[in-house]
This record gives sequence, C-alpha cells and structure tokens, in this order.
Amino acid sequence: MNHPYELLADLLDGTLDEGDLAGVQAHLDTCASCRRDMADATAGARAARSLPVEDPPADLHRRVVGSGGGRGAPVWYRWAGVAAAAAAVVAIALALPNVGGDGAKEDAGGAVAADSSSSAELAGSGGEVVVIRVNRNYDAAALQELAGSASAQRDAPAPQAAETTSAVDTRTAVRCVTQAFEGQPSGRLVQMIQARFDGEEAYIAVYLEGPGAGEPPDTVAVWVASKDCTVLSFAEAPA
Amino acid sequence: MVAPETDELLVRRFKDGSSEAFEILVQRHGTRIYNLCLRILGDAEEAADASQDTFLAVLRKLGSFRGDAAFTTWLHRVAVNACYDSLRRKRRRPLLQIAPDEGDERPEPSLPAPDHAEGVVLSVDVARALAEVPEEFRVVLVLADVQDLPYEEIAAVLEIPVGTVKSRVFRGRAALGRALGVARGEPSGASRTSEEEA
Repeated sequence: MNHPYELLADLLDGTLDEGDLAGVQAHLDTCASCRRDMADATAGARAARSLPVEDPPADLHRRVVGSGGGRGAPVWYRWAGVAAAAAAVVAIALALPNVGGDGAKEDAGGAVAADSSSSAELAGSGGEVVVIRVNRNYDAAALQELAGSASAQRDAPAPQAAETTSAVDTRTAVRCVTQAFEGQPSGRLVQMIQARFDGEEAYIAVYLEGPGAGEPPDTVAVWVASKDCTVLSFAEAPA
Repeated sequence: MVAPETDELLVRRFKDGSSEAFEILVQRHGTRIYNLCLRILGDAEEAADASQDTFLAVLRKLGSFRGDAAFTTWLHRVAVNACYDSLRRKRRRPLLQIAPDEGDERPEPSLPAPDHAEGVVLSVDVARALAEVPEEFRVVLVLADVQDLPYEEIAAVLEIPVGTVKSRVFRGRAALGRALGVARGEPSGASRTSEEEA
C-alpha cells in the first residue's frame, strides 16, 4: 500500500487542503500503520522542536577567523587555515560545494546527493585531462601568470609540453595534490602539469571553481604539490 | 538604533575586501550552523569540525558567490555537505567495526545513558533518538524542526522537490517518535521501519 506521507505531513502541520481531508481521513481509517505513524510523528515533531540551542565551542570563531582570514588575507590562508583544521583525517573526498564542472558529482547539489562510492573520491579527478610534463621551473610569479592565463582562456592553458602521460598518472597526480591540500581542490580539473616549482619536482593542478548554489565557475585555482604530496604553493585568479 | 547589516550587504563588503564582514557572518550564523551539525552528526566534536569546515569553505567560495540563491540557503547547503562529508569519513573507518547495512547510516550515539525517571523525555534522550533516524530523513527533520526552515527553503538547500521534503520530514518525525517510544519501553510500532511499510 502506498502511504500519503506528504499529505500526512500537511495534516500534522495543519496545512492540509480541505479538498484532501476526506481522502486522508479515509486512508487513516483503514491503515493502522499510518495511524501509528501519525501518533509517532506528532511526538517526534514535538520532541525535535524541544531540543535546546547549544553553544558552539568557544574557540570556533577563532578557529575560523583567528588566523587572519577574510578576503584580504594572503592566499596562503587558503591552505594554512585548512592545515590547522581539526579534521585530521586526510579526506581525499571532501566534496565541498562547487560548480566547477559539468558532472553532477562536481556541483553543490551533487555533493548533497552524492553517495560514497569510490568514483566520487577525487574532485574533478581527471576525465580526459592528462599530465603534461613541462621542462620549466615555476615560481610564484609564473604561477600567478598561469592562473591568469587559464582565466583568460577559460580552459586549459597550453604550456609548451615536452610530453604527455597516461590518465593513470593523472589520477596519481590528482590524488597527490588533493592529499597535500587535504581535499580542498574542487571543481573541474582543466590542467595537470608536471614541472618544477622553486627547483623542486611538482604537480601543478589547475581547477575551475564555482561558489556553489548552481552558479558557474568563476575562479581559477592553481594548486602546487611536491611529488611526495606536500604543499608547495597556490595561486588564483578570477575566471 | 541602527539596523544590523543584512547578510547580502556583508557579502558585498567582504567582496570589497572587508575581512570584518566575514567575521560578522561567522558570528551571526556560527551557533545556528553548529547546532545544525550537532543534530545531524550527534557528536559535539564532529559538529565543531564540520562547522569549521563549513566556514572555511564559505571563506574560500564567498568571493565568487554571486547571490543568485539567498546566502542562508547557500550556507545551509555548504553545512549539510560538510556533515555528509563527516558521515562519509566515519563510514570509511570500517576496520574496527562491522560495515553497516545499506541505508543504515547513522552516527553512533556519543551521549551518556539517561538516568532519569521513566516517562520524562529529556533533550539527551531526544538527541540519542535522533541518531536512530535514517540519515536522509534526519537531515530534513533537523532543517525543518530544529532549524525551523520553511519547506521551500529546505527544498532549495537539498535540491529536491517540496513534496519530497514533506514526505521525508513526516517519516523522520515518525522515526524519531518511534525511537523515543523504544527509549521509553513502548512497543508501539517500535520494530517497524518506514521502508517496510512503503
């Protein structure tokens, strides 16, 4: 038997249309399960509404803004803040809301509805993006230039590639960058570069990010991790 | 008396470079978001972490937030996602526990056992019973009856139809009522699940 839960919610809330009342009442007359549910739901609603408002930990505000956060903060805050986060588990799958991609798993609503399958593990984990090996030593200025370049093209910038590697390597590189930044990289991966940063072998991941809530990507984020998956640098530019 | 700045105005100020505006938003919504996470996760420490994750995500994304959705709707969505992430992380620590059945995704109660007279429903009992409510119903129930969000806004937060919100909130309430009945030793409908009856 189908149970009219939606209408029962209206009945409980006192918002049921008069036209539906007779039908719902007739169902209740014949359905013991729904009668019990109504009684339980009435008690459940009252109980849920009785829960007191608890004070958050005294240090929550400090944990979020005490490190000098805010838009005026330097870009290092984007990882420094998270590195200080109490969530110690390295959550490769932090599906923070973003609208960077076209796949459901990449937008905010998708994150709400996403299951925990392994396919959702890595934000923008590659698709057809391959690792491009570049014989270049990036520094902070070059990184910013890369972000700006991606921003201007709204897609993968095209450094002079020496060679490309397979998608398997892309996944390894994405995993490494994601691990270094504790799940922060999100959105659509548009470029993965293997090069040097300040002389050190590095993965440079370029993502298009959005704010969530169904809005389009509007930030280019460039995440740089060493090949042993530690944080090296970061840059961003408006998309 | 000067009216407080709206969220939208604070978002605009933040985009103009005011870190103070972000701090005001955290101050204004911190308790609400913490309580949302607390009632979904059932654990104070995890709720604090999820609240922190929420505001750090907001910090990262706010600069590019265009405001097509209301700020509070977006904020709740970010927070619910942070809670889902926390629940997923918990499920990924299966080595010392038996993997739960499909759909049996509930946080482990972390509250002390009640020591009060039978028949008196204390908030500690409600919090414990809430942890027994299946996740998909619990999230909606908390948004509706703890956060007091209108059904339309819950639908926007979760990107599901309003009818689905109503159905889930009813089933969540019923599950909570049943769980409290169990806590009080009442057999009525105690062993049933909404899924079995659907």
